[in-house]
Amino acid sequence: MRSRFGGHAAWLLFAVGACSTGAPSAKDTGAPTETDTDPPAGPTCGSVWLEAPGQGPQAPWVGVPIATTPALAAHPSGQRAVVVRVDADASWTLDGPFLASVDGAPPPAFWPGDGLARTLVLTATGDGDGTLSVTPGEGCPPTTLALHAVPPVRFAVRKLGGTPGVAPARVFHAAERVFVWLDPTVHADRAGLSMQVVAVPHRDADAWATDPTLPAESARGALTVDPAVAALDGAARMNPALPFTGPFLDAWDLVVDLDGDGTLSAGDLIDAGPERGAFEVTPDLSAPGPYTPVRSNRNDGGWLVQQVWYPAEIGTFTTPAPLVLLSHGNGHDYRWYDHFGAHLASWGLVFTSHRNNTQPGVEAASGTTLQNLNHFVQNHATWFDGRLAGKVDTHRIALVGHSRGGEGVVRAMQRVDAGFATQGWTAADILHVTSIAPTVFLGVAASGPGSRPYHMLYGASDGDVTGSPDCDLCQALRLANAALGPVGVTYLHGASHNDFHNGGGWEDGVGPAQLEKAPVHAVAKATLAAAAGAYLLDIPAWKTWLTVNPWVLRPLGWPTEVSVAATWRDAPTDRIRILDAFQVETDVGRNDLGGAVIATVDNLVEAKMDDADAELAWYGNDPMNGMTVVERDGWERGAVFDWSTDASYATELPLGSGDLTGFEILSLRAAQGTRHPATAAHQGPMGFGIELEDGSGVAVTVPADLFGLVGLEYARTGYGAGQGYVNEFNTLRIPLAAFTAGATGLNLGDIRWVRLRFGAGFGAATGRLAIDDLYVGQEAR
Amino acid sequence: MISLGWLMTALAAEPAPVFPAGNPGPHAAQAVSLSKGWEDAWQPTPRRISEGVLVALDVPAAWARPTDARQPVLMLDDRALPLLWTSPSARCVVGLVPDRRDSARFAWAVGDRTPEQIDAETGRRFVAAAEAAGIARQRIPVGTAPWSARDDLAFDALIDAFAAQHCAGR
Repeated sequence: MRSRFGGHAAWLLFAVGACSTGAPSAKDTGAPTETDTDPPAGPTCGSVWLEAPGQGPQAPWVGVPIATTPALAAHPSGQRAVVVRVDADASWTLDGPFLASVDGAPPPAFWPGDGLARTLVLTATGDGDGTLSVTPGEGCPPTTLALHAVPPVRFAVRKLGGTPGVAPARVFHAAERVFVWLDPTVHADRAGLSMQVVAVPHRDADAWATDPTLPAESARGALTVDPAVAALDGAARMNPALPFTGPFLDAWDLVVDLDGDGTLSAGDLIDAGPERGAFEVTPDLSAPGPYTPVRSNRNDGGWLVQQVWYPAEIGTFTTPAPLVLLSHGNGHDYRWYDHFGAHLASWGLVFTSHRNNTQPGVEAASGTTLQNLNHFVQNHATWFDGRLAGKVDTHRIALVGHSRGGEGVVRAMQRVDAGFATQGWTAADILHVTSIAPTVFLGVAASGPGSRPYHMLYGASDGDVTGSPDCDLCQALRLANAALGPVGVTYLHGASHNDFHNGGGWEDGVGPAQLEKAPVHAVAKATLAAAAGAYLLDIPAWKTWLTVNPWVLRPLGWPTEVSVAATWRDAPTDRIRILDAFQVETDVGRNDLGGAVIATVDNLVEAKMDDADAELAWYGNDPMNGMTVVERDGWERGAVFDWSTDASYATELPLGSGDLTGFEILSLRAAQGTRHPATAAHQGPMGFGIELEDGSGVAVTVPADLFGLVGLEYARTGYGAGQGYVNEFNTLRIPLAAFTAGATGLNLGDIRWVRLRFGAGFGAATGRLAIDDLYVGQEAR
Repeated sequence: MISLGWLMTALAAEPAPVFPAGNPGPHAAQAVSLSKGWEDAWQPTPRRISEGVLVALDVPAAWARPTDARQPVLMLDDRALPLLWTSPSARCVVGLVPDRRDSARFAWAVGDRTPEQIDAETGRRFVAAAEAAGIARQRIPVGTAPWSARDDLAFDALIDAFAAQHCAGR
């Protein structure tokens, strides 16, 4: 049995080994076992009875898993109880990564042959095999149990289509159902059994040891494991929706209460996660948080003018609130961002929006950003009757900028890194930067985000910073693509440049299905809150909503009328392994690892992703048509191709790079090719198959569209004939567990090929696609 | 491949006028005296302005966009001048001319370069293009009694008052 997740041993999978005497085993009888042995000529041998509590008399011995998690490795919940009864004095031995105890103490070396049942509790200390041998009399043949411990398996899953129809998940939003699934190929011993699944507010190992009870009021679900169906039929839906304990963090452990005794006891299964429980539930981040926002203004003349939002309850805060500073764009006003200020203050942050000197240009704007940050940090304690004194964490800061201010904030960070004189804060205190529809006047060398966590909010209808191929300073996506740290893009169809603020100005929107400000603000507020939670408030679960593919999984609170293309790329330091970013190896027949690329798709080209002319019309001579992610000063490369029949793109993992057991997801980003005939023929969101093949030739294909789609470009016209605006990347993050669920036999420790499969059997029958940034990494939380 | 669209390049590449038709000059001007001074720190060679003229200009409808990618730019010789205020409709802007003697010598245009990206050479081409386009520089009557501002706050108030008086409804 292969592990589905790495980590410490947590599951025990017991199998009865054949007795040396050849006597019937528990596997054969399917009942509490009495093993009779023919007495040898010499000694008189007794009998051994073994029983697994909670299994019922019909439970087989084979495949009896016992659960724990690394955090609970020392707790009885991670142990397997075995009742041993012997009618003659018996000795026992145990080998492999296992320990035994009786009533919490080491068992005696010999069991008296009194026929009494004694509970021997076995604990796994790591992955691997072992044996438990009970010898009923000196010189007698032992009864032997073969033991096998496998790593922990997670129960919390998100329901998908297809088979097995579930994928492990750690973060759910408040309107989602949490499903629980026990893989029947792993939990064969539970076949046919009904059991209760209980969700309990997260406890650490010590808390579980102190209090193993499962509160009666806990959310529960009935679970039956059906070995014939490795699918959702074997899942329990937590119904009704789980109760929430608070708006910020709801971390839950899941317990399969096998024996129904209302406590976490030996033989039960638990998923308590490595740190924060089996799963977390996040609130609607587009909705106001629990605090009451208050607005105050401060005018110290010149450019030192700020509008500040903070929680009315800030005086009661025992932990200072992080700071978010916003820099507006040209022709905009610092008072046009109340919707963001009130929102972030309601979630416990301090927000200040300042007057920004954008008219001279981005360098000047970055100067007022820095001057105002200095001014706030140095002086806020005296403002507003001292209400903020000691209540603002000026070492946990995020910057947000719009338009020229959006470029200004990243430019400001480069200036700080180059030695700008900060006052009361340092470069290391800026934990996140968001640009909203930024300009790129200065180019990515001067304005690139560097390695700081970075996010971009941008509208496909922008009529100012248009993103069009004829205007390099308008290609906002250049900044995101120059990021060296974790970076996300939230690209809203129908959102214009001026939709992001709440002030006046001209209606710049271009294209169909124009959005009102309200839905744009809802998405923007949820995105800013998610970033603030993840990077300022130490709520890593909120980062999930920066990374999802919203064609399939939408963050809670995003209005239904908003179509969004979203990308997420982890930092190289985020425990990832890049399989092909198309940066190192420029030969289309090789990937960045040096492995081979074998493709049957048509018109495969690998190049810098820069549209070669000023048009979007497809003329057949510009493979990177519609690409606006890079200009002369950028470096992002990718591959483009098309297909009209079944085809594939396979990239090889050379020797030494195919062990993926330390990773949780496979990520890549992809974009349809705007106005290409194949795109026009497909005319819709696109799916395809992703296949992993191991060294034994076992290949498993997962439909990518279960986890994300590659959306069709926004239907904006102009820049030549045809319809469809610039190419929009979408990130797909496929749990590696999806390739092994249902005991596919795929060996994640020896993957040789990652293969993208195209054609009617896998999604779009025809299409044009760009791909980039293929890597394995970790889930967002 | 890429339109840089500023000045001569823009003139050559784009059919839309770069200079305002008929050269609409400022419709109001007011001398100011700044005790603290106002520094155009974004210039390659910053200077502190202590005596200048606030001017209010009507922005042609075709340009009336408080844009980030394109904007009206006020030029004096080879130097871009600060625009200190923009109406919500962007049809009226307030600029600061550094010297009363210069108040009749500026021209303006719209482009996709920011003032801080305009170096002396670009500025000279701008002026030449303006002259070639027949842009006549207009003398604006400026009151003899300058408004004075002692500090930034007072200057802010002065700008707001000037804008309220001359850009209201525009």
